[in-house]
Amino acid sequence: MTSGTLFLAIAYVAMIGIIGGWTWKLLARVGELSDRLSAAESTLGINSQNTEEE
Amino acid sequence: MIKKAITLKREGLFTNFMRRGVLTVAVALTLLGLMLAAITLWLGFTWAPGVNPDDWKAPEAYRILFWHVPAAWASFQAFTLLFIGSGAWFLKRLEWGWKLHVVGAQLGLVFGLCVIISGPIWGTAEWGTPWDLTDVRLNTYAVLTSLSLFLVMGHQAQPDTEDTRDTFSSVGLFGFILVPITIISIRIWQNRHPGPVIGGGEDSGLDPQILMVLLFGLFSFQILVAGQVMLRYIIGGLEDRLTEIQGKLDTRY
Repeated sequence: MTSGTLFLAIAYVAMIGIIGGWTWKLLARVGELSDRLSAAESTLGINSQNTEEE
Repeated sequence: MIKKAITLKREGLFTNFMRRGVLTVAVALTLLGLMLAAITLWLGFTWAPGVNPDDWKAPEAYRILFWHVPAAWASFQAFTLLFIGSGAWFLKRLEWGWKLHVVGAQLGLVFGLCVIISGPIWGTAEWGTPWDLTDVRLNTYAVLTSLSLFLVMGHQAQPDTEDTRDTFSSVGLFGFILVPITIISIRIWQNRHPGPVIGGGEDSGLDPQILMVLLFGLFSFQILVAGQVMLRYIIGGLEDRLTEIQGKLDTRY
C-alpha cells in the first residue's frame, strides 16, 4: 500500500459519506415537510395559501 | 364571489404546481450532480493516467484531486453565497439574504469537511504527516471551515432574532476575507501544499487527460451545488409555510 491506495480509498469513503449523508438528509427533510404541509393544508381545507383567502 | 373563489383556487393550484416544479428541478439537479461526480470518480480511477512514481512518495494517492479540488471550489462558492447573504441581511434586512446566509454556511461546512478530511489523509500518505502548522493554505482553510461550523452550530443553538442574525451576518461578512487569502496563499507563501495546477507558471500544469477529468469534476460539483442550494432554499420556504399554517390551525382550534 505504499502507493497510497488505502489512504485514497479512506479519503473517498469519507467524502462519499459526507456528501451522500447530507444529500440524504436534505431529501428526507423535503419529504417530511411536504407530508406535514399536505396534512396541515388538508386539515384547513385548502390547496395553498391563496385559496385560503376565500 | 364565486368567480373570485374560482380564480383563487386556480392561483392556488398554480402555486402548488410551481412549488412541485421547482422541487423536481432541484432534486433532478442534485441527483444529476451526484451521478456526474460518480462518473468523475470512475474516470479518475480508470481513464486518468498515473503519475511518475519517482516524483511522488504515494503516486496513486494523487487521484484524490478529482474530488478534493472540486469540493474546495464548491466550498468557496458556498462561502461567497454566505458573504452575499450576510451582506443582504446586515445592510438591507432582506429575508432572502438571511436564507442565503444559512444555505452558504451549511454547504460551506459540508464541502469544507470533505476538503479538511481528505487533505490530511492524502498528506499522511504523501508527506508522512497529516498537517503542517507552518503552511498558510492549510491553516486559513481550517479556520474557514471552523467558521462555517461555528455558524451552523450557532444557528441551531441560538434563538432566531434580529440581534443574533446581525451577529452571525457580521461573522459571515468578515470571515469571507479568508477566501481570497486561502486562494492566493499557495502562490505567495507556498510551503507544503502543492502549488496551483492551472496558471501556476512554468513548473505547473497537468497531463491533458488528468486536466479533463478534473474539469469534468468541477462541472459535476457545480451541478451538485446548484441542486443542493435550491433544495435547501425550498426547505426554508416549506418550513416558513408550515409555521404559518400551524399558527392558523392554533388560532382556529
